[in-house]
Amino acid sequence: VIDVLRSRAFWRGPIPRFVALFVVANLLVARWHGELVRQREANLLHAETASSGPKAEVHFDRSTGENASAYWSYIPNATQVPLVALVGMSQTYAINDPKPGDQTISDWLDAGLKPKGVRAFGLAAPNLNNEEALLILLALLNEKKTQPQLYLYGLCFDKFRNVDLRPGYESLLAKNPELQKAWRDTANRFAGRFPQASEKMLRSLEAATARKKVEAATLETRLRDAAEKVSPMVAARTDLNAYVQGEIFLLRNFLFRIKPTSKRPIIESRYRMNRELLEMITDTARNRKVGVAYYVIPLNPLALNPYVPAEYEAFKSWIHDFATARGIPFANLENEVPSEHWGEFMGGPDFKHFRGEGHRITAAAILREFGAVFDRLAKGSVAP
Amino acid sequence: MIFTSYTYVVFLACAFTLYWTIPARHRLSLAIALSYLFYCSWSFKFGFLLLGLSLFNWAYGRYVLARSKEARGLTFGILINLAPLLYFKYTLFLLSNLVALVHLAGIHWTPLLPERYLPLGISFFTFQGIAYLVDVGTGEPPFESLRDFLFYKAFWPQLIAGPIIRPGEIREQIETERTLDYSDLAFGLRRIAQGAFKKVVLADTLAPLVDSVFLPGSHPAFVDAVAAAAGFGLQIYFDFSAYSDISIGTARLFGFRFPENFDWPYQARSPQEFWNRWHMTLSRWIRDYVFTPLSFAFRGSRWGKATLVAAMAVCGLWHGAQWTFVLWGVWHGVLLLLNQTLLMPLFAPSRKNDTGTRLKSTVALLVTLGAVLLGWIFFRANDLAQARELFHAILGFRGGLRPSVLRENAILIIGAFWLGVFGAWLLRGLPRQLGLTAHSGAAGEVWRWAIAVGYTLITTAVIVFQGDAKAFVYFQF
Repeated sequence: VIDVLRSRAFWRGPIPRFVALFVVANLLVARWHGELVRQREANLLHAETASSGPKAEVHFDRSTGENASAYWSYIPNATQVPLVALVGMSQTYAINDPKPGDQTISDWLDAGLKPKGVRAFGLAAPNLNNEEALLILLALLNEKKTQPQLYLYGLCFDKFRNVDLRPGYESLLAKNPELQKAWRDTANRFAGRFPQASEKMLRSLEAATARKKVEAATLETRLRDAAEKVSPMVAARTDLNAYVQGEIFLLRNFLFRIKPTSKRPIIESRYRMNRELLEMITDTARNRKVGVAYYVIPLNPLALNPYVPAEYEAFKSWIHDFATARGIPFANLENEVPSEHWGEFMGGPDFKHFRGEGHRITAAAILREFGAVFDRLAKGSVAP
Repeated sequence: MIFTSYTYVVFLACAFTLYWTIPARHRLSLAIALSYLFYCSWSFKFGFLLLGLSLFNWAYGRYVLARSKEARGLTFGILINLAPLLYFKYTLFLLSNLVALVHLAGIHWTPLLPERYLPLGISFFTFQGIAYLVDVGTGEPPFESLRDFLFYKAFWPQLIAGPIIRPGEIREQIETERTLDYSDLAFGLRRIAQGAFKKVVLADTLAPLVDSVFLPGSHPAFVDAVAAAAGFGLQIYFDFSAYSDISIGTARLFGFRFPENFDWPYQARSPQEFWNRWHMTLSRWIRDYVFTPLSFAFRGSRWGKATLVAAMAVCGLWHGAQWTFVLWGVWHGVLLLLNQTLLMPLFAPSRKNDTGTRLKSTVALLVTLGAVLLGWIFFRANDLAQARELFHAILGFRGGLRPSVLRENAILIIGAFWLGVFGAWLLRGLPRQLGLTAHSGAAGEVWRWAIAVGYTLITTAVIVFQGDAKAFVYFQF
């Protein structure tokens, strides 16, 4: 080996050049990652920043699903006060062109309900799908302290294209054996009615269990931790991966001229599975005496959206009929937020995320539309 | 210990250093010990199975088969090798089929079907053992030294998923003293990096996309089924050839040259050529130890041609104890049969270079590729009903070009990967043609830097994409 290392062929070959380039690449990554961490610390949506702040000021999962368990302790104690869990996608927490003092829907909702003796807490994540929404429900039901009186879900049509648990929620499931049991029991209970959704849940559980094994303190994890200390590239691999995926996403948009307004037809199998999962959410909540209420999220009235109009109409019609048939409080808040309160996205009007005022208006609309439900909660009655 | 894990990197670095540091006479013993450590990191008790079979094969080859050429002796040796494979891998399959038959006869019998834990690599080391006994039984000299034989059986790079090495290919390498030179080191590291990239970045990216179509209860449309077949074709190629790359690269770091297992299989212009390029060491095993004896046995009989289908059915069954695998084997058997009969004019190679021949060659490539990709549906399907569902979606053009399961991104990714494969295929000879691979001068310097940049990107991609070290697909066989 020493002869090889001493040889002229070795030093003239690509291996020493590779080593040099790899060291340089690590230094560049270290610099990039340091800057990224600094930006995150300046951003309110950061778990560590939030957890170091005063407890009462946190009204939603600021890790946006990446580290939900870190926010569980911020959920108002449901054994002491009626709790509304507000579940939804990025609209629930994202603020376009944020200004000091801007608040999210969850903040406004909690402020509006507090005088009635009811509390609200937001559990949202970008592109949240119904499998994840079901996981959030089961995780809340897992403890008396977090078991809400009302599960309020903002439905977004294009999220019915998504399935799978993101790593953050997978990790939440992996860490909690009781939650795993509840998840498995729910899948098995609905296996006859919804075989595809049920099978999907069991697959997700398998994936979560596999993740748990990977995250366990094995020789492999210890070695990876050690590698993180030596190589900044290993330490930053998750962020680098997210960056690469983002760049691929932009490349795709550029190559195929995809815009936020490009039409995205539903994907039948996924759409059906998400509808099945919503039914599972409804039945599971009610079996545990938790009320459910659904609303269709506001959309920018001036922006073109990517929905195929006939499909979107069919969705709204289905959810309306479903809610009516099952006696679920339901509201369509689609046209609630005027066009001046929406921001921009990728060079055009953002059809789904609004500025600070949009959050206040949406929260006010929720308080108005579901006022009767909140009043019942305030009186100690069970929500429908 | 997965080849793409940090544990393996550390294991390999320690093994490499130790191996080349100790005196040459102890190196094989060290490699045997390390191989058992590697194997027992999965399951300690199955290490005894491997050791027991190895001791039996060595003793039986040396003291029985080398002295007596009786067919009965060879049959006994083969049966001993097959017994653990039948017990661990096929008991459930045989019993469940027996139960189904009994039910068909109207008898109610529901025995408790045993779930068995499959020893890792059992299919590979069983085939290797059988090949050894057959070779010795037909005149090949046995290994005299137990140490050499234990090394041949257990050397870890090939232990779990091949390449299936024959004694003649490695005997001389074991018996001569090995040295490490720069070209071995560079070749080994290069193949390991390539394998890690294929597995972590390519195969593991495709896996979840393909899995979503094969989720029980999903109702795929035409485009989903086609994308799933095309995606799985690439996934399994990247996955298995990655294992072979790391295996061949690792062996080279220890001074051993393993036979290649893949040679651009999707470039094949006939089913026969496909099997000369895909899992080459298994293909020749099936040819030499199943097809050839069967065709001799049925020589001149009207069943002669069917031996090909039977041999491929065995190949399918070797992959897994399920009817889907058997059907996959039969599918390829029929393709090979068509290759030799009805479709011979299409698949026969030609030396001409005119437009007609090129067109015929392109059609042959597309037909072969299409048939191979359709065959993967049997291989990947969870059961026969699911395979039928996917074929139904494809043949019935269900849902047209609108996906029902996959997101458009997934279809784009699979398409982009195929474009990448075709691009790599077209461009792979280009640097040599342009004279960039020179060893000296300015061009040589540029080439060395280009290689270094390429492997830095590959290594970076492996680190960035490596989530959890996922098991290779062929580990289940």
